Amino acid sequence: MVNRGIQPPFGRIHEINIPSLEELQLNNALRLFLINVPGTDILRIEFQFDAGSWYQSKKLIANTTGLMLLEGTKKRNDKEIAETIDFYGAFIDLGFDQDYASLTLFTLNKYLPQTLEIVKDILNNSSFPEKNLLTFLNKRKQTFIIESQKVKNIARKKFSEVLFGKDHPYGVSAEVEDFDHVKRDEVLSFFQQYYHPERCRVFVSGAIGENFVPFFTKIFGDSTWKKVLPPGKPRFAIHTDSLKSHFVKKDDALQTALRIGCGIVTRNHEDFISLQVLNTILGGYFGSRLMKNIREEKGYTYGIGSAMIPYKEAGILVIVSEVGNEYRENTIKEIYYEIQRLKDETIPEEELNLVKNFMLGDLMRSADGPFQVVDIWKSIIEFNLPSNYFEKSINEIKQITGDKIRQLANHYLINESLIEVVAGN
Amino acid sequence: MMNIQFERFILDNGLRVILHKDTNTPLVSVNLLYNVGARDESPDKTGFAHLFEHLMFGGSKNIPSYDTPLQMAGGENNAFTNNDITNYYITLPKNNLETGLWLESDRMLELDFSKKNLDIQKSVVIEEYKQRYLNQPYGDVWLLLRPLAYKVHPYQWPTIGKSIAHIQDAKLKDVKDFFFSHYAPNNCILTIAGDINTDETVKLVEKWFGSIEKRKVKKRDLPKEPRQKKERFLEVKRDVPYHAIYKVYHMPDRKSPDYYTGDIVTDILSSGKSSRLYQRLVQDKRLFSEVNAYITGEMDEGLLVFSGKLIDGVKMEKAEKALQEEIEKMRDHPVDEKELQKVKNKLEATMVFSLISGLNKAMELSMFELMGDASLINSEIEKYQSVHAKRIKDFASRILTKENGSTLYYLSKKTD
Repeated sequence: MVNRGIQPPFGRIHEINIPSLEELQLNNALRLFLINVPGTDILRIEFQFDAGSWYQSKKLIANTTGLMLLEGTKKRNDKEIAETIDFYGAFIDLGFDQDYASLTLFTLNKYLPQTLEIVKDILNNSSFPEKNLLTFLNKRKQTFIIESQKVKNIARKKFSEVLFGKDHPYGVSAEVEDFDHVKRDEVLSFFQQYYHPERCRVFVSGAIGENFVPFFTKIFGDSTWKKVLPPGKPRFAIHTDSLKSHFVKKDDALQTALRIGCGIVTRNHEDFISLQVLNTILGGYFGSRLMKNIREEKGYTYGIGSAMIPYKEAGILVIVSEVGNEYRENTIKEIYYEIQRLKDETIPEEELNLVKNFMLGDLMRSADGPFQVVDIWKSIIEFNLPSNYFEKSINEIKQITGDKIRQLANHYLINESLIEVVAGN
Repeated sequence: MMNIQFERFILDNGLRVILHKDTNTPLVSVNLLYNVGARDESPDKTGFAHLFEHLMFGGSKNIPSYDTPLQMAGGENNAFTNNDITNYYITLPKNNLETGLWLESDRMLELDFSKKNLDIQKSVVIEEYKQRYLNQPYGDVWLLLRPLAYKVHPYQWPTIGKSIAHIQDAKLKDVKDFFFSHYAPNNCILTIAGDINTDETVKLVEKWFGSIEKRKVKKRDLPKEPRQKKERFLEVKRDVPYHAIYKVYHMPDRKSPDYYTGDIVTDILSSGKSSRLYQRLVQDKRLFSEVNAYITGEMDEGLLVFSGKLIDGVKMEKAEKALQEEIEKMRDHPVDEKELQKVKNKLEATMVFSLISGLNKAMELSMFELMGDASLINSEIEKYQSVHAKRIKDFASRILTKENGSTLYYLSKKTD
């Protein structure tokens, strides 16, 4: 008979291998990053531009530009673009946030010439047809209005506004009427100003064949995609509201959305990895203190978690949940209790070991497969980190002590700087 | 052509085991598909299969916490329940596979049934009910559509349950009964995918699962939904910003060739920006802000679904008429060969991309085994390829008829 009461022997993760990164720069200043992962016939090619909402001088212009890249070029209309991409079994994802806009192509290697040709056309000749712009804005506006009814979005919007201030790109949100004021020439001009090779990093991962680089260079390195003088990066001051506790009323809401958090360092700071350990303990996994206390012991919510969001120019740590209205006060009380406990008590050795093991497993998952690993390399490039950063992170997680965690909690999680947003009835 | 290799064997207690070797990953995926879903619930105790999924994380006979030892071994896990199945999955470093098997075998053996755990998870599930179905605009659509489309078959209620009251009323005895009549080695498919040594893995599976006794599983004997003879209609008013319309049609089960035809029909209509509904109803006529067509793809006879949100100010009758015209075109005109090929290529690529992930492979192999044979995974693409224009037209004229359909007007209170 087997002894079911004892966990079978298990190993700790000592190292995680990630495929290496090769960097090239084309003549037009485009930076090309290659992550070769053989074993599939598929390529993922991401074009990342410094063209997030940080750079716009009017709300929604950068978003509209980034998210309308498939709407037509001087040569092809939206339908032709979509039909060609679909026909070759490829996919194009558009990504957008405050810092970056991106276009990611997933393609079978054998159809690379056909699909890359479309991407070239998009990045050189996007025309943002008036008719598509109207449809796009109408759709976005309706989605925006629907999303604005959700308590979690109400809380998110208020939280960013309180933390960064309404004039900061990380604090500002669109309003309904902004959708009526986007003009085609503004979008076109943003495109012409910001979608250029010297603002572009291309991350290629998957089975990269020998001919890939010359082929890619021929398409994207030539003089038709020109270098222009990039505008300088604008600077914004953070203005955190002096009032820390905010309530936004939403009639008839059955649940209350909560956001509690503060500004914290971003990825290039020496404490970042250690703070991720702290965050994991607090609310970063299913066995976290917040989940255990508020969901698994009290049943106040379907889910509660905390996350660190590393923007390019700032970082935040935020606790997020939706709870039954009747549990609102108690949940907030328990959140502060858990934060205080991190500051007052050294984490038990066993819990710390568990968190370390879980995080190492998670790093292994994040490096698995030909496409996921790109995100690791992207942040290394984004924050100009040393190329052994991933390895360093692993060691730092392994070596962190309970005392260090407590010290960090006392240093970063100051009650007076925690912002608390409650949205509900 | 797909060519996913695997080994399959059955333990004496009836547990079906599938092993897939993949040397490209340092992780191993463990997937347990239990052949029990919301369709196996009794009509006065709905939401049970899903509530039960939550209880599976509350500790088992010999192991007080499921999550802690798994996290200690660098693993992560989750589960989902739908109308057909309850599926549990883990990924962990390959050397720690045994921890996963130890945990899963113990909760297959027996759960630690406690009233405290039941009460807490009832509360958690009630919050989930509110968060996902009641406190979201359009969140209750499937609470309305299912009972409209099904009068007899248990697909008439959603996985979360007909009402919060059913969850509130769950008793510990019900929970125990449910476990012993549905959770059993002979009602489960275990799939392991990763860089595994097959012989060693077989031994480990036997070590942990071999001694669990076969159980008498409650026989599934579901009433067949009678053929719908008259079109159905429901209208509700809700506090949402825009009108929405839903149309659902009964269609054959997952194993029928019609499943593939239905999937292709809905892709022609609404997959991506080159699709018919997007081009004509969103882009050209500007009647909808979004419009979708898809099949529920359930094991028993499922539904083909249209859903659309109207542009502010557009009249429902006008929008419905335009949608209806596109539906009728599927019936009356053969599809263009190139249009058909495009959709097939995209379906194939979607499958190729999704099967890069070891966990997805484990889940898919389990699903196909449930359908009768895991190797069906390798003929799936051919089945899509064999759908031709005539079959599509035939499908549309049988399925997309007025008598076979139900329509829901989900109206905004604001734009009366």
